[in-house]
Amino acid sequence: MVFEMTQVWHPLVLSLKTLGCVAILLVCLGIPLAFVLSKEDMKYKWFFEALVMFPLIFPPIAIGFLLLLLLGKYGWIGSCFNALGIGFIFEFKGLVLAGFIAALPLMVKPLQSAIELFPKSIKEASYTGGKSRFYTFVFIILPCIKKSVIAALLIALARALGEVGITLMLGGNIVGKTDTISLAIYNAVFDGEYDLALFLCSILMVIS
Amino acid sequence: MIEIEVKKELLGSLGKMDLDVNLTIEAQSFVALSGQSGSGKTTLLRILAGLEEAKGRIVVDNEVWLDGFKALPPQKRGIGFVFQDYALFPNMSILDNLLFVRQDKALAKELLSMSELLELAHRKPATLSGGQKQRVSLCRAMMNRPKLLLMDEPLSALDPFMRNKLQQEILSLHKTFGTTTIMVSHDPSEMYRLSSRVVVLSQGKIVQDGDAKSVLLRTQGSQKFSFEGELLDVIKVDVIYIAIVAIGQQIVEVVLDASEALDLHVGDRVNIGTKAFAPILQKWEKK
Repeated sequence: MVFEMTQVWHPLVLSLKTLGCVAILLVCLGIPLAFVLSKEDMKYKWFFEALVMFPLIFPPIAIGFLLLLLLGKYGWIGSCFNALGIGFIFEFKGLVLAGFIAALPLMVKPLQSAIELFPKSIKEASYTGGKSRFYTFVFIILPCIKKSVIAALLIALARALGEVGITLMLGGNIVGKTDTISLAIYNAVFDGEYDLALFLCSILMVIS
Repeated sequence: MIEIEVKKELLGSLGKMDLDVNLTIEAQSFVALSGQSGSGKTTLLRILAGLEEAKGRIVVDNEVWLDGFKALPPQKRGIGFVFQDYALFPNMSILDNLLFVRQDKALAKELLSMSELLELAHRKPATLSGGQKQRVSLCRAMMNRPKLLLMDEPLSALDPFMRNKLQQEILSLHKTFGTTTIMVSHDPSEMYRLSSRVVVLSQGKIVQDGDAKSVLLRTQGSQKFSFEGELLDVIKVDVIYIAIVAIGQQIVEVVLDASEALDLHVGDRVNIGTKAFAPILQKWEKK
């Protein structure tokens, strides 16, 4: 083979690590977010829904650029984190954030509709039995829609795995540091290393 | 003792209407709530459960559940609610459905054995028949020893045989626990069998209120019996007319003369009664 195995292993391990972190974030933040958004009488519901859906509609490169401005060393949010010694740009954290933002709408939307479509009377039976909305969600609704949760998580992770635009902007595509597998393919093609690109593609196919 | 005084604007079948109900219910009584669909029965029940907002005042055993717009949430009311579509928790076994409301195994077992469900305790709701599901739902509603048991057409999705059986069970549960009960129902025999009082709603207002017999019995004056029905057809046979009338699940023929026939139209609600004869009651099938 004309390429070194580290050129394969590094992006692969990096991608899997990123996916692992994104998955944890999606479960810890995505599910509660879907629960909050499914509340019928929530104020400014349309605004928060639009905010979550934004990365799905807006071009990833543009989102990446906006995030770069926001999270950069002198950016609006970035400067605060910078003061705490936390940087996102061109770091592993940036990759995770990029994957998470790209994947979030695909996790939250299907879950939100699964929660909203859950039979009202079953929820009310739990309320009249003295259980709170949150308790009902955790012990009744979530176990009943677990298939939807898993499906949404898989679709969202697939999106995170294929994410290029935001990752490129936030991660910087630094070879050996922030080149995820999708970016490694892009780099390989760019450098004319078609064998490497094909090999990475076949790995992605196996993962998918 | 339950005092109810609620007002709420509703979108009924005939456009906007006001639900305006004033009702006092004795402790341990069994009240049937009846009326045409869209009359506000279910809404009233849901307001009592705290599942719907309303304005007014509800006081149950000196505990204020609703005062103006300030409502006690359903979780804190200590009620049992039986839904028409059972609303069992699909992810839990029958026993867990009951224990979810309260961790009281002894009570759960007692309720399940009363409804002959003890052998099914570890099955999931999906494997049960409609009648069994509704019994579970009833048992679950009794689990937190409710001050008030609310039932929204609990038996309307069941066949007549099952309905009879469950009516007996509801009655025996009511006798055992003495829970004040309000049940929405359309079935006169059900109301007669179970309730001590029948309240009829129409367009959000109480139009009849009394004991089951006086509200449900339809004979007037010297009539021996009378039935309400719908006129399906009027057929001319020689010089007389024959009206075909649907009463409940049955169809009967009644002979009319020309002047009576002229006044009737297909689709009319009619009353069939007789005065001259003593009706004969014969046993057709043993229970």
